[in-house]
Amino acid sequence: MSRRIAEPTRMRARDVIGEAAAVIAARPLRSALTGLGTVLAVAGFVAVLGLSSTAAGQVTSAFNQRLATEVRITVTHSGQLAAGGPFPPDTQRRLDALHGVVVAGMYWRLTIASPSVLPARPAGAPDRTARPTGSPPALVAATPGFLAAVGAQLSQGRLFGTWDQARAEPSCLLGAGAARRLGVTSVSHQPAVMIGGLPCTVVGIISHVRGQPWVIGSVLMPSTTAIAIWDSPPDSPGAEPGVLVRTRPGAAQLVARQAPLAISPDDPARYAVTVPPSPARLGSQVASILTGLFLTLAGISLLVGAASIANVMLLALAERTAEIGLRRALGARRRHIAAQILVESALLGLLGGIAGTSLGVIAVVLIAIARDWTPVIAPLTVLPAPLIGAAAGLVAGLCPSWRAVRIEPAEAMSAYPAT
Amino acid sequence: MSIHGLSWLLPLPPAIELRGVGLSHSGPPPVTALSPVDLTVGHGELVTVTGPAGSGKTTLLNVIGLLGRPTTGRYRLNGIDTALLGDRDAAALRGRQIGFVFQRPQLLLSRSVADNVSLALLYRGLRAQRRQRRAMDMLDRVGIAGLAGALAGQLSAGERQLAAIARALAGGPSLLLCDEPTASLDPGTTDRIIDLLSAVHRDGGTVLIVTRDPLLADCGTRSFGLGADLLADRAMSPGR
Repeated sequence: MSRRIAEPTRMRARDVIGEAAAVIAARPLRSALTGLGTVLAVAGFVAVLGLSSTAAGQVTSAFNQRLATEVRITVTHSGQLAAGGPFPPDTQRRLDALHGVVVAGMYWRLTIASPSVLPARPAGAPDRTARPTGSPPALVAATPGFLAAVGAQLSQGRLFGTWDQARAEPSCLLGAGAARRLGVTSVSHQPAVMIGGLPCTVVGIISHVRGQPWVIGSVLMPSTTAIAIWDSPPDSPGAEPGVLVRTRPGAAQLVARQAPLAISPDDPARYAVTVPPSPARLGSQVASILTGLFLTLAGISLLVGAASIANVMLLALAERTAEIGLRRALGARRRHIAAQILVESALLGLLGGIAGTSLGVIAVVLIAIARDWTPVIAPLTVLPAPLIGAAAGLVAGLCPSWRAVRIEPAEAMSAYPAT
Repeated sequence: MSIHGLSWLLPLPPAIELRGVGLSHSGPPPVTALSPVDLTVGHGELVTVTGPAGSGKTTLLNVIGLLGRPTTGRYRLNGIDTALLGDRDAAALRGRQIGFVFQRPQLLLSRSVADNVSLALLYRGLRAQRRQRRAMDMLDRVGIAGLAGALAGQLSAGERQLAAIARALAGGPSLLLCDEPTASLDPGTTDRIIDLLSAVHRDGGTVLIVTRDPLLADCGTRSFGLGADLLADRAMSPGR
C-alpha cells in the first residue's frame, strides 16, 4: 500500500525500560524469587574467580617479598680443595654477563689468628665502656657487589665503594647488631674498632638487609682490605666463600641453572646453588582444576537461573494476556510487546547479576579476612559479572516474548478478567 | 488528516463500511461469532448497537477496532480496505485514531490512575511529562482528577470505568468504540458516562456504543440491531 495510513506508532527506549521496571517493581517478592537463580550463579562466578585470584596473589606476594630474586652460590667441600681457588678472579664479570642478573658480589669469612673486635679508645683515656661479652661479631669480607645484592640499607654513614676497594682502606661497616654490641652509636666522628689488634674506621651502620639476616650481626670490610691488611684471601681454610646474586623477578631459576657453568665451565659441580623454591606448581594446578569445576557449576546454575526466569515469565503471561491485549489496542506493535518482555527479563537478570556480584565480593572479602589474606579481585571479573546476568535474562526472555506477540488482542480482551 | 483535508475535493468515504462482514472460528466445533452484517457509519454519527447476548456485539466491535480480522466480507475504515493492513498500519490506526472503552475497565491495578490514562499515549513516543499532563486533563474532564495519584486497584467500579474512558479519550480518537460502558454501574455514574460520550459526539467524533442499556441506546443518532438475522437464521435452519 503506497499511501501512508497513519503515522506508525513508536515507543521510546526509555519507556520500554520504564514499563519493564514498573512490572518488576509491582511484584517485588516474585521478581526477587525469579532472579534468585541468577543471583546465586553470578555470586558463584565472582566468588570462585575472586578466591582463586586472592589465593594466587597470596602465594606471589609471600614469595616475592624475600626469596624470589635471590640466588646464593657456595662452594662444596671438594670445590674448596680445587686448584685455582674456590672462585676465579673474574667471577663477578662472568655473572654480570648472565641474562637476568641484576647484581652479584662475593663474600667470605675472615680467618685471622685473633678474631677479637674491640671498641677503640683514645690513647690514655680511662676504659669506661664495659668489655663486650660472648663471642665477637663475625668478620666478613665483602665486595661492593655483595652490598648491593644484599640490599644493604644504612642507618648512618656510607657504604664502602670502589674507592675503598681499590685502595684497600682499613675501613669497615657494622651491622646494626654488631654496632650495638661494640657500643658504636654514631659514625659522625669516624670511630674506630680494633680488629685483631689493628684499628679500622667505621664508615657506616647497616640497619636492614634482604634475605641474609646474619649480615646485621657482622663486621664487613672491603675484600681487598681483607687480603691486603689482614691477609685473609677467600681460598684460606674456613673462609666459606660465597657469591650472592640478585636477579630480575622470575629469573632466579634460570640464573641458578646457568651460574655454576658460567663461573667454572669445566667443573660446575664444585658449586652448590641455593635457589628460591619455585612457585608451588602442583598447588596451582590443583587450584585451577578446582576453579574450572566451580566455574562449570556456576555456569550450570546460570542456566538454571535463566530457565527459572523463562519459566516464571511464561507462567505470568497467562495472567498478563489482558494487559498485552490492552497495549495492542492502545497502539503497541508486536515488536513493542516483544521488546518489553525481553527488557523485563534482561532487567531481572541484570538486577540478579548486580546482587550476585555484591554477594560474591562480600564472600571473597569475608573468606579472605577469615584466612588473614589480602582480597584480590580483578576488575575484569567484577565489572562484566552483572552483564552475564543480563545476558542470561535476555536469552530467557526469548521464548516468553515469542509467545507474547502471538497473543491475539481480541481474544485477550474477552477471555480473561481485568488485570 | 489527509482525508478530511481533501473532503472538499472528493466525496468523503464513510467512517465505517461493513459489507457482509462475519467472523467464525474453524473449531472444532466450528463457531459463528458474528454472522455477516452490513453496516455503514458516517463521520460524526453516534450509533448504538443492540442485540441479545451471543449475537456478536463484542466481536463486531473488535473487528471494527482492528483487534480481530473478519473471516468473511469486506471492512473499509475511512475508505481503507482493512484486509490489506499489516501489523504496523493496524497498530498505527488503533493507537492514533481509535479509542476503546472495554466492557471491563482493563486497568493496570498496580499502577497509578494517571499512569493508566497516559498509557494511551505511550506508543506515540511522547515524553512522559507531556503524557502525564494530558492524562491530568483527561481525568479532569471525566471528573476524577483528585484520584490521579491513587493506585487503580483502589478505585470503585464506577471510578475505574471513568478512568478507562479518560484513557480512551486521551489519544483524541476520531472513532470511539464502547462495549457496554455502563454495564453494572450505578445510575449516577451511568448518567455521567452518557454525558461524556454525548459530548464526544457533539465535538464531531464518531462513536459506536454496544449496549443493552435502553437509556444509553436512546441517546444515539441511530440504533443498529444485531442478532435479529441471527435469530431468524437459527429459526430457519434449526439443524445448524
